[in-house]
Amino acid sequence: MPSRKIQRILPAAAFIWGTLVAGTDYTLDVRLDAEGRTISGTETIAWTNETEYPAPDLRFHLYFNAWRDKKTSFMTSFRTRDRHFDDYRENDWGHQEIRSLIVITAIPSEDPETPTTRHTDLSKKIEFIQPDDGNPHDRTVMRVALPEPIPPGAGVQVQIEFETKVPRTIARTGVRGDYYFLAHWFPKLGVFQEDGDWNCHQFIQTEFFSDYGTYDVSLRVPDDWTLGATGEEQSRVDNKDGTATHRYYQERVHEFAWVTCPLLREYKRTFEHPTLPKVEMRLLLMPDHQGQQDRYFAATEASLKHYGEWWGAYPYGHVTIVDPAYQSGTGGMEYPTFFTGGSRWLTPKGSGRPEGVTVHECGHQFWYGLVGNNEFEDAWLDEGFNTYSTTKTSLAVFGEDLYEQRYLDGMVPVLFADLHEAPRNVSGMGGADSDLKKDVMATPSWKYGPDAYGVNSYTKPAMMLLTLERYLGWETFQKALSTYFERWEFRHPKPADFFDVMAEVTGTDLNWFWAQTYYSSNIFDYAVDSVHSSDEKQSVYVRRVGEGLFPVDVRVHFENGDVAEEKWDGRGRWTQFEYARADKIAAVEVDPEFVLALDVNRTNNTWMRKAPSTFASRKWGLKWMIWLQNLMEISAFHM
Amino acid sequence: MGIIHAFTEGLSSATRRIGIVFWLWIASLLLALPASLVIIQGIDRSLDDSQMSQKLADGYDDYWYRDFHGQAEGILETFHPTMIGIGAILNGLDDFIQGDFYGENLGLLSVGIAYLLLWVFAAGGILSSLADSCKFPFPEFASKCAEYFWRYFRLAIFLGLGYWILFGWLLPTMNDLVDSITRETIDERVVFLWTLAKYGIFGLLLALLNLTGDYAKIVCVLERRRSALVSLWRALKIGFGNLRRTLPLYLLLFVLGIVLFFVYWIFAPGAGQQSYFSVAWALIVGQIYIASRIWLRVCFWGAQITLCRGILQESRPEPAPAPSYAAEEPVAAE
Repeated sequence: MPSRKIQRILPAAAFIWGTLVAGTDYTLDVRLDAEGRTISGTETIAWTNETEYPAPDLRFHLYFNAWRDKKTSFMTSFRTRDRHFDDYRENDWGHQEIRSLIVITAIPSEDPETPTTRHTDLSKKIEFIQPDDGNPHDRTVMRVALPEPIPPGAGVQVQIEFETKVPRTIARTGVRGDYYFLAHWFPKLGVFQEDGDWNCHQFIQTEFFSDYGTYDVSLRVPDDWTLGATGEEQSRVDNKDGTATHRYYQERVHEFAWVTCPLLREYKRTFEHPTLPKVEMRLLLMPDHQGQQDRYFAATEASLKHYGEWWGAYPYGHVTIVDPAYQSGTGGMEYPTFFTGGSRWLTPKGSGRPEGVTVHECGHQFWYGLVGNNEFEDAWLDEGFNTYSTTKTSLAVFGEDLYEQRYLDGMVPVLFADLHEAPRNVSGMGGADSDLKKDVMATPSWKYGPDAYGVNSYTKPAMMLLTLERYLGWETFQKALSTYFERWEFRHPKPADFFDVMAEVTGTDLNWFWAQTYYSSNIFDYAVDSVHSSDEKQSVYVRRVGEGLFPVDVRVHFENGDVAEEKWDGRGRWTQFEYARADKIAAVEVDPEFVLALDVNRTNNTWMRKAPSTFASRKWGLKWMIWLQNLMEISAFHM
Repeated sequence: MGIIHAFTEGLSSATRRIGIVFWLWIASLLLALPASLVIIQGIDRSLDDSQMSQKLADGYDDYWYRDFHGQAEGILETFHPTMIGIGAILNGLDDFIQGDFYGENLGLLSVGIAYLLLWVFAAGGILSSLADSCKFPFPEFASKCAEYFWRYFRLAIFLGLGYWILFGWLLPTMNDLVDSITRETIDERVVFLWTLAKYGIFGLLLALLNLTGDYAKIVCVLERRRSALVSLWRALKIGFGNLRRTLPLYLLLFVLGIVLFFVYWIFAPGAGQQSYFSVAWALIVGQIYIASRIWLRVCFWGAQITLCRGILQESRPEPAPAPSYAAEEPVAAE
């Protein structure tokens, strides 16, 4: 790639280079003003129109405008509106301002060897649009009409001077004390799609979407502050004015995030594996979490190993793990080659923190980073896939988490060694007001109704995939998923792309399954209805309680030790199995291997003749009584 | 009157009144049992004949809990697996200091209020027995309880106002203050220290209010006061006027409570009972702890009444010396 110096001297050359680049490349040169909490500088975006349609305008995300005030679409959305920001002062809010915007386009010339370019100052042509909800107070999407459309195959450069005011963190990015975590902090081009339309949603309740490209970013910060970012550091220059400029570079990514804070301490370790590429791991750790570095590295290695073995290799050769500052609100988030974990000062082993979140966010390097789905539309394609993968990895390496209760304003943890916490599942979600029923997975993520985003992006798709794994068998399923990964690496798949790969690799028509799960909000629940015995005949009635249809096995145990294995297509409301024999039925299991991970009630899947429910209920009821008596003593003490 | 003497006397007098402790414990059990039966029935219905009952009998199953919690309503919503072991105390204590009483469940609140009223009633008999250093037969005990009930009821209302100020105003204010101070703090250890300081100060104020209430009740009995307000006033004078003795004694008794807490933590049963015998043993251990809490409360009163009696004796003016009539020469008749 031409050096930045050449780019400044020969815009034409740079322009030619830009037309040859696939994706969207960003070059940024910015400075952090810690006192004013602003980031200001310049940005050059090189973009090529890879579609068959001309682009009449350019659209950009200005994510930080979501936090201008309480009237933006983000602040009034379902996920945010019940939070209070009464303690937010004027300086706590954020925004993004464009100082200038110049578009450089090619002018046809007679000599193809020396194309000429036109610089058009469109600073005054900037307008804010609200394609999703029409909220005039929302400025998270900026549109710039072009004097002439950019034809298919042509490139353009956009030079922007901007200033970002960093907010006190409301979601994922911001400042707390001297800790700055910056993500989506610069004007970001939307994605011009194959249908000739921009995918550039307002920032309301989802995560993000952008093109792959190259990031070349220079960051000027106080010289004694540790800095970490997407990519690898190419240079660090001491500016002799109390600041230092760090230059980071990374190809084939779709976001650039960074962190800087004087308190972060650096640790390094190398991930090595006999069949996977080496990865240099860099951990930036806060002082109150000293001693947890081994846990962070172990979780990152677990993710790199298992995801690499199951789905595909991590190609970048390096990854940065950030231990987020306490109360910063920046934990548990993913960016290419860079992610945040999350821990507490007191966090016993077995509680799952920081292991669980670290496995998950490192896992996003695969699902989100490498397979770059559109999170505005199909958040489940990374969150659901990653939740499924995280659970498998965590169980394989760390086992089930133990129940942890935190006392004294959540500061002091106590682990309950007798209580193992089930991994994320849909048990107990069968009620009339279940979140599973609040929307259909196929609804675009940015349109999900209240309480629907989490379950449809994380839990339900994870259970979908687990069900498929058990239904198809691990070998077939793993082959399908790894094929999908390989085929869509560095690309933007849609759900149909995933469904096609599944059908192709498994050789199985799964449309009936997608119809039940992805295109519907049906709930799955199969149960043992009743068991009847006589001297000559034994009967089992099995019922479909939910609306979802799925074939299930039924295993019937007899008192003499015999076992009958039955199959039911699960389509009717009930079915019956009869046995002409005297031996009574001792136990019944519907879906004994728990293939249908989407079943919302596991308790009703089984029956046993001598169920010790009386004993169990008394045992646990009396424990509850001791809790109540202690409560009574606490309050009576103060009379 | 020394603190140690008052402390040991308190333990001794409470132990001698083990019958009172026993009956209060029975009352606690009888009040808690009906609600527990609702929980037992709810769990039983949830389990039905499922194999989950075997898993719960052998230990614990989190999938069952999620199924159960997903359908639970009313009092059943208060069930949580971490109520085992030391969680039985910590969960309630943590909720209490957050100002969350009985999970805002009306049924449980009623049980709590009933138990509170029982103590208001029993306090008169207990304190009279401690004051007179004798044990009453039941009819007299009940009569003493009745004699002091309305005074203690009025006192409870005044104390309730005090608790309302502490929990309803002071604690939220302190929370806001600590939030404000630590607004930009990114080191959890610093926030932890501020939290400890907050609860330390709040705990001290809570202790002082409780101490005042105790001495108000004691003064009612020792000085035969009829007015709750006057008793409160006297308690403030005695309690705060002799803070160098009343507070350390209170804290010493509090430390005894901490010791009992940690002893229970060692023996507190978890989820592993698999037979009626082991369930019974777990229940007994739990009930022993409950009884020890009741005994501790009586210890508080026994110790404080001993100290208070000493303080009152010290504050009484020295009686004039008895006139001494020396042998005199008979006066000669004139």
